[in-house]
Amino acid sequence: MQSPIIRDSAGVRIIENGARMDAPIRFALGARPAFEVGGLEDSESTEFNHTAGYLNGVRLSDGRFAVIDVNRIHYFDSRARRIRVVGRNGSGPEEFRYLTALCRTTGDTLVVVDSHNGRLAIIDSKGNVSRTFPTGDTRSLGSGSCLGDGSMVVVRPIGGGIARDRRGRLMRLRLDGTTANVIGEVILHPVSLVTQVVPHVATFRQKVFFGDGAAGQVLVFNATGSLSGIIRTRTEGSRFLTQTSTSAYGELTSRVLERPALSLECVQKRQRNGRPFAVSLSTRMADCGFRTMNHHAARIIGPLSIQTAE
Amino acid sequence: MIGRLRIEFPLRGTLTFQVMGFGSSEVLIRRLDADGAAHLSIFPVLPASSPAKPSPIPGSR
Repeated sequence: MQSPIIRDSAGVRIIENGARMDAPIRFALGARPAFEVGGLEDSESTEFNHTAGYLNGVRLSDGRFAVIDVNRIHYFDSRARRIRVVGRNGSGPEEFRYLTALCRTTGDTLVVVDSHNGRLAIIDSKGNVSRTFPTGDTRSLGSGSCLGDGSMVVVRPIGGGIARDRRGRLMRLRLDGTTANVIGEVILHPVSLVTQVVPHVATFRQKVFFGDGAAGQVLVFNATGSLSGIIRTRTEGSRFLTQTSTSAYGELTSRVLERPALSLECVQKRQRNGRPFAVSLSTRMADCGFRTMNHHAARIIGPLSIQTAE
Repeated sequence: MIGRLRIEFPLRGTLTFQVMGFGSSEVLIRRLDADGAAHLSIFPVLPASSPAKPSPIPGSR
């Protein structure tokens, strides 16, 4: 594997790595999950609704696990037993319409994005909604956007329109919705339904990582507002950082090849217990032979080291 | 960049899966089982038994 080239430019550490596909495989998943929730249940109403596409979870400091599921937040104990469900469909107190992201900050406080109500909700450690405030022109809050000091990172576009190289600001907000500081400016490439490359924010301690999938680089900011590093990879063929591993893609390809009818209409619905159910757009596209490029995620393995998943 | 993580999904009967995020030496995965029911699963990240040689993505250069 080619050694990275590290240089310093005006106080910004720039790390140029070799191509990602040239890197050796040094890590693997365990054979069994250490923790798992979901699956078929006695009552269909308590099962996760996978058709919404934003099912996600976060582990809390005491071993509990919180899951956003359309308009509910499920709390599980450390043994994966459901202990509380918060929320229902609506726009009133303790109601949500469409949850798209969550993150955990100090004191096991959760921040959730209720996109259809246009607001962020702050959930205390017991699962009670302590505050909501409008998202305003906030474009996104990802599921890794909370900092450990009781603040969060959001992206706000500068100006309107859908310009190709539209700029945006990374903002640090307090839990009452007020602005703590501007972290930096970034380019917001248009979201593509084909590539599914979207900006991705991850945090570690007081560092903020902005993954620019279209440019194949990660910007590293200090939360107080300065660019401290740029991490790049030299990858030919596909510049996209994706979520699907080489092996997984191979399995997916094999599975697709086993299906003779590959078209956009090939998998619209499947049967589950005799009932049809929809699969997500990305799944349908993948099953129909499209190579989808999901936004990448980063595994933080040290103060200045992250690992992207492909 | 110190290496890659191999994700060969180990559970039989899984229709599809997606990496949702990473914790400290663990990966959060959303998957649909053979019944079409959704799961959120946390898998530990372990050292690969031996560093594998890079393999190309099918269809890529």
